[in-house]
Amino acid sequence: MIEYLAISLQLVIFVFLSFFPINNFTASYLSKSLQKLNLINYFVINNLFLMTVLLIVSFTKLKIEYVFYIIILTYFILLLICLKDFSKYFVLVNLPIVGIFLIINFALFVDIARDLHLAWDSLTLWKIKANSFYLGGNYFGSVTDLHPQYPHLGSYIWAFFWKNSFLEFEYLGRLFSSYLHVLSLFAISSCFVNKNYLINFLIVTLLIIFTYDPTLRGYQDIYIFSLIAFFGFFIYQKIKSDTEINDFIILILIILPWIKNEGVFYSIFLTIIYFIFQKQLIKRCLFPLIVFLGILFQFYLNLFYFDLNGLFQFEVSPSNILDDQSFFTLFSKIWNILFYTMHAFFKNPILIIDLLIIVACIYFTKLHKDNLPFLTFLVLNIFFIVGIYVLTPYDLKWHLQSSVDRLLLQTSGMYIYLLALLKDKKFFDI
Amino acid sequence: MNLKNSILKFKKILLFGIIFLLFSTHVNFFKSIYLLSFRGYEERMLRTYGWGCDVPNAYQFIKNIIESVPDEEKNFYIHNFHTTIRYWLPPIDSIFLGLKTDETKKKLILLHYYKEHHGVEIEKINVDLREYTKITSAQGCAYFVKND
Repeated sequence: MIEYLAISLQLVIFVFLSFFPINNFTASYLSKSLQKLNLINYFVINNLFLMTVLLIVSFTKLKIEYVFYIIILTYFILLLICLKDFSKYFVLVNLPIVGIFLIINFALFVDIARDLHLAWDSLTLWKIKANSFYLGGNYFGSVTDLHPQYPHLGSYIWAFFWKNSFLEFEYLGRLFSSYLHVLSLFAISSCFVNKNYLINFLIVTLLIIFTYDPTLRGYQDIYIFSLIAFFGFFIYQKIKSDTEINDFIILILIILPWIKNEGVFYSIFLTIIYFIFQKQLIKRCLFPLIVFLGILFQFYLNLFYFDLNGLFQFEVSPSNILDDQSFFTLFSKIWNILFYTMHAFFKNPILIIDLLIIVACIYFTKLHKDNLPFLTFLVLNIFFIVGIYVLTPYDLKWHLQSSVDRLLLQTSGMYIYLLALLKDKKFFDI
Repeated sequence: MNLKNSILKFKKILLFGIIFLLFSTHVNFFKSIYLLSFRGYEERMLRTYGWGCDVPNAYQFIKNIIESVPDEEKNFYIHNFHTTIRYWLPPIDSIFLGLKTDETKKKLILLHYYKEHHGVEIEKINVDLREYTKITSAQGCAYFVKND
């Protein structure tokens, strides 16, 4: 029974951390563009902020307990300042949606608590790093001794919430990825309906049915899925209300490379999209520069600090591209990629939904400019996936079987916004 | 008017209930609540990774050995010979906090090892059991220490 309490407490901590530092009240002291956003918006921004803070402190020798206390104390002071408004805004105005949000999270949390099975990479990679952070290690110490080519942020977050949980069971640290997943689904559903909480609940339920994969316990793919969905959320909001792109979008681009290796590519793709669709010249140049410097820093650490050959798990040598790529081999590889991609569609039904949405979108709107950010990402992503598997030095079938479904799932949240755009153009109504 | 409102409210509650049931079934909500209420963390770990020397990972067998030594001596080389039809299993060393891999193979834990089936495999990991003393064992699993 005490585990229910620990799980509930963890949920309360996540929600608390999601409400600060930027919300309806503090925004009035910060920026006009941050005022009068909806609750989901603030939650997304604050979670990105939290992840960025954790990324920065992960490079220091600060103990994760102290980091937690500092964050909680700061947020608690903010809570005291706006306590009256907080309860009014949080409990009265947003009660139904908050209630549904809590129920969904709690249900997923108990499912994770029930099934403690960790998947392959979780046991052999991510848990090892998390253990090291949990035991007081740091990025430049023992943590990266094993598998330094794999980014560490997901494991750091895992250890952070594990160490600072009520019962200190490892799964309590993993709940944050599930929480972020649910938040990303709420962000997507908020693009379809605003006030009707029942429809909101229905959309989130359907999205969970299509995307929730218990075989990914401890994997980092859900973080990537959520971050890309958040990016789509900001872009969608810009298109819908014809305003500036939310500046917090840059945090997604900074965080992505530190979650998983492929995050570097996604970060570059999304930066390209940002560069194309940002109108303000200063931000258009400055933000991609910051992202580029972040990736360069990671590259520098891998090359000179960890003495690795590159940023990624395998080397792309010219022989991979030139020697063995007869037309037949290339055709056979592409055929295999297509086959296993189709195969993945049955594992993750969200991909079938995505395909239908993309086809409907192209059919109805004929490459309307509003859809271009999402379609640009689609094209870049197709090149990326084909590129990976054409160049892989591993056995192609094994590599496809073990990873293509996850790669496709990671980006699947992005294309749902095309459906929201179709809805906005009144091709159909919800 | 009141009746109309009540019907509308009932419809909403009914709809909420249906969606909730749909959601709960998919994420095993009721099953999880039921199981979590009487299966503690340790029991769930045992069921996931294996009671005693059970497949897949003989979690309890390893745990008993690891917990019997002080923290600074938690260096073991663990090898699991059990394979499923399609995959070999991931090592579960990371489950145990502070456990280090003993590359010198002085302290060796073999899981699901059967002399008649795994003669070739044990040679592949460069282990000659004649050089070891058996400390403890269960059917298929054993803990050895290398003779000095």
